[in-house]
Amino acid sequence: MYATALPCEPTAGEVVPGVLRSRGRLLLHARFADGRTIPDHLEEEGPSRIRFPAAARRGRSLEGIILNTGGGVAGGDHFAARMEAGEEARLVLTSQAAEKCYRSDGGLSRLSVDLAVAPGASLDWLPQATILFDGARVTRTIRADVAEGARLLLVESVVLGRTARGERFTYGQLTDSWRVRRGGRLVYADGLSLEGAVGGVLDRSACAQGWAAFATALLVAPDALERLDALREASEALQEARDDVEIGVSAWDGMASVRLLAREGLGLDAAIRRLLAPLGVCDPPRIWHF
Amino acid sequence: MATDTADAIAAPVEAAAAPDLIALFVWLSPAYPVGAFAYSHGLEWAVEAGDIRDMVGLQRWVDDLLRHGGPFTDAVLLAHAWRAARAGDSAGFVEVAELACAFAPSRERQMETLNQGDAFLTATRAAWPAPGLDLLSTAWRGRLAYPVAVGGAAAAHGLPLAATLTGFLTAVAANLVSAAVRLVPLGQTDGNRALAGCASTIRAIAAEAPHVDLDALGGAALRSDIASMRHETQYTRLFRS
Repeated sequence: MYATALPCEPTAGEVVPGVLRSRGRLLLHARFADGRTIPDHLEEEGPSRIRFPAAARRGRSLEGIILNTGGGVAGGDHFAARMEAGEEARLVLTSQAAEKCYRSDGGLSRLSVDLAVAPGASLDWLPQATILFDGARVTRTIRADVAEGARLLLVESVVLGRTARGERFTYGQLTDSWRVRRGGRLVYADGLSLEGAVGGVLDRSACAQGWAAFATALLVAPDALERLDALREASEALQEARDDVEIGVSAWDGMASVRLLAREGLGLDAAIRRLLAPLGVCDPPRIWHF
Repeated sequence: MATDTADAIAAPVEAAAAPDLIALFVWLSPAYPVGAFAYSHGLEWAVEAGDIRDMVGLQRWVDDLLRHGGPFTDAVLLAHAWRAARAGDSAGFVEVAELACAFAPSRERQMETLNQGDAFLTATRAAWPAPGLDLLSTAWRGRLAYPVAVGGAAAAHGLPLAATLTGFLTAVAANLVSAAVRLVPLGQTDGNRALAGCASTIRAIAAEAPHVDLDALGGAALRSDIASMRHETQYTRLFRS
């Protein structure tokens, strides 16, 4: 009887049509040649770009910086990246800025990361944090295939809510699924499942005690177990110095893993920077310097 | 006629009320030789750190784990293992067995599940043989995570999934409570109250777990994961995890 919305206004629950959603895709293969690593195959689609600043080139490794020219991730957007380090290549990948996932109008954003590390190669996946605005709905998959004897470092951090402005992540979705294979065998799997009224879940004592920022670092490398003592030492020092981070460190089966929980993003960032050296990163990506 | 009708209604109800769960009661009792008493799933650190000081704190911690932690993801893995074994689906069983081995946030958590899984299968093959059990070990030659071993054995013995899940979650919760009773320390009555307080969550999770896909396997108990990692360097320890 009565029109409650103009035809041009989206009604509650209506999802923005698929054609208006971002579809980002990256494919990179890096190859080792003449003493250095070079990008020898690159595909970029939608708002996804990757740049290789000359200033970031150090020794034999190639540093790539991923950009999202769309400026963020809206509900229903899809971003996929496949990054391959060829034999003997040394590839370091990071992002230009934290990835912002906006409050969703109902659509689920999909982020997928697919990494391949060939024999003798090394890949560091060190993106800046993913920030979920309250109401964001994100599902992410991380898949990695590491050759026997190759090296992979994954550091992924998530900040729930824009903590600097006091926002809390009270509802929304974050599902995260990690599967890491070495020599074809599944060696590490991890999953996070937060859906619906997530504020109450995060408040729980065995979950996040209401803290908003967390990260997981995983090192798959021939020397991973030998790094455990240095990681423990750094983690102990951090926890003695600050009361806003909790860190756990473990190593088994040729892997080292670190779980971090922090009251907010800044403390998490400081802790990750301190842990990079014991994880085998002598010099953090150039874009991390400030 | 009236009597016949009454009998016809009563008989199946009576039969349904008493399914044969003897194997489950035995397997999931603390006396079954899987060494469950040696593992605290990181709870020993949570007590040390002051997260569990009393009955209320204990019940909260165990409830968090049942809903969002290792026991929850174990229940999902158990359900998938049960279904694959029941259907004789070797590929499906291998998929869940491999995932369960890798789905551990720390060295001690992996040791906890694999040691109990291997011990469970050894004990069960020796005392409770069934053709389906041999199928499990031919399909998957690696080590077996505890929920996958229990799910696979239950299917091999024709035990219902719902009862297996309820029994498994109850045993896991009872083991956590028993560890806390020794560590906090708490009185037996408080321990029993905490466990009774978990009953409704156990029921809910046993009903929910079979509907979770393996791709969506996950929880949110980050502090429990961190506790299991920090337990590795805890100065005085009674437990292996």
